Amino acid sequence: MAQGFSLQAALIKAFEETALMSGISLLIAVVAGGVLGLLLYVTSNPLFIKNRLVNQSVGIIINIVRSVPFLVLLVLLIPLSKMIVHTTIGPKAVVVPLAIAATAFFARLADASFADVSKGVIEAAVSTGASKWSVVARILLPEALPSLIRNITVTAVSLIGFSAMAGTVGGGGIGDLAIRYGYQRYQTDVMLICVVLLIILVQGVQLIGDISAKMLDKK
Amino acid sequence: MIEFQNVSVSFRQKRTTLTAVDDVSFSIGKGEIFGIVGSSGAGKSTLLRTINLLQGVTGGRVLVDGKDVTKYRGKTLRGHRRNIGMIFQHFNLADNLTARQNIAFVLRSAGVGREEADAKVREYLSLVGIPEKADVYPSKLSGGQKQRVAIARALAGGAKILLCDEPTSALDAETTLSILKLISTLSKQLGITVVIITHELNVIKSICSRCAVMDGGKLVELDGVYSLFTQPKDGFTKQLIGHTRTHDLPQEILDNTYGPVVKLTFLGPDANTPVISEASSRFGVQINILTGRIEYIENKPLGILYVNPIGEEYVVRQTLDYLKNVVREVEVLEDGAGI
Ligand SMILES: Nc1ncnc2c1ncn2[C@@H]1O[C@H](COP(=O)(O)OP(=O)(O)O)[C@@H](O)[C@H]1O
Ligand SMILES: [Mg+2]
Repeated sequence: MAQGFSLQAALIKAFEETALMSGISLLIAVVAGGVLGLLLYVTSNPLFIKNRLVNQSVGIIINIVRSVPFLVLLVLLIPLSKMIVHTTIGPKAVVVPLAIAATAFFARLADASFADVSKGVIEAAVSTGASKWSVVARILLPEALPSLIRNITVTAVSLIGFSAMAGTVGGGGIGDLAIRYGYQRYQTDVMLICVVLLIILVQGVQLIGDISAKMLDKK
Repeated sequence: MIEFQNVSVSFRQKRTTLTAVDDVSFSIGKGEIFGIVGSSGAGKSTLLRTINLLQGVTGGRVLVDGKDVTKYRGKTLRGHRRNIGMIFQHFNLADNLTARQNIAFVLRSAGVGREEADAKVREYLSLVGIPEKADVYPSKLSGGQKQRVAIARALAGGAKILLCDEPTSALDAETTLSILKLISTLSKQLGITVVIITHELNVIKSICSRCAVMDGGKLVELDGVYSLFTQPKDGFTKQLIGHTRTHDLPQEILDNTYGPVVKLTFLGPDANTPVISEASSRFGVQINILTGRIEYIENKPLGILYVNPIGEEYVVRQTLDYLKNVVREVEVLEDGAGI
């Protein structure tokens, strides 16, 4: 009975840690990655501020981050985490590598979402004499929004997976719990509960993403 | 009002340069509905887009109200574009904005206040005949209705020029007519200069007063629409227009007619003289009408008849001589070898 109680508490704590790690990283990734994605888009489109140098530089930086395996990134960024959040263990510390990886990931997806907006629609908006900023804010964003939401969902799901991995190097969360009890102490039932919990979490995020994208898409 | 002076546009490709518009000069008058025709790839869209600088020129100048617009940048360019509305073949409305929001976008980004913009949107939606569609998303509108919203968006900011890039090419025949009628009405009502490019000759015939013909980036002919369709000068124009002026008589009918098959083209007042019955009674010849039609361009008739005079050989010859005298164009297609 006592063990059951502590397991429940551990599960709640792990769930909170996963939600915290993924949530904060997602927020940062959506804002920073969204801005980078927009930068990639406007610097590739002659109707905005086409600039090869900026476009390729940003692209290369993003590619570098994306080509480093996440576990390596996790280790590489320990000094940076220490600087920003003054700790190298726990959910707070892994937010830094998680956010950076997810930002690079989402930047590419956001660029693709913007590029998917009909060129003709953008051109028609530009032809009205509206400023570039106005076209971005009033036409590009609403037109790209359903696709952006779908890509935010993809990013969130990947983040949940990555955060489980990050947990194993001291980040905490559901992944960490699964490894500690299930793998190291042979408590397969705990591991199963953790896996089910992760499945429910991913399904829930996907469902919310799908519904909101569908609601916003008037095409 | 709009003047092209030696306008050229080339696109640099990997190794070659493609000259899409080649040294084109002509001008379009205020309030005119001006057509540009040509086959696909002739450079029509490219030329049209130099007017609002969606396309820069490689050479020459584009004057609007006497001012060279090709050097416009930033704020001046945006101000220039506000005076010019544009509509497209695929309407190019934002799918996630309602009709109202699509039109309001133009006004709001020009700094018009919310209430004033709202009133303008309502005014223009009524003007294009769909006041009840304000809160409908484009996906729930028919092609014709989408183009009406696009026209409202193009004009709501007070534009004095309307550029139309194949505005009816995605519409059925009936909707095409209603959209053309709307454009022509608005042009008169609001004093708007319209430049319309198309590969459909019917569009030109129904609303344009003058028309330029483009081929391979060059201006090959420019004339009033009636003379263009009745007396084309350039070879390419003749070929282009020829398609609409040939008959669709089955070969079997032609093979089985005795006597000559003659194509008669009536222009202007000719079309109103009863030459057929005149010839028939004067020479005692029977004239069989195989096919034909009369259409009106700029309210002037253009008639084409395919007839088959039947009778003694000399009577038929007399008839032909008579017709050649009174009809503008007489062309003997089959000399009656079938007898
Ligand atoms: N942005 C562009 N880059 C390269 N080539 C282009 C571009 N726009 C048009 N062209 C080329 O210029 C030619 C004329 O095109 P366009 O003006 O669209 O013809 P039209 O409207 O008469 O069909 C075509 O060969 C087309 O491929
Ligand atoms: Mg075209």
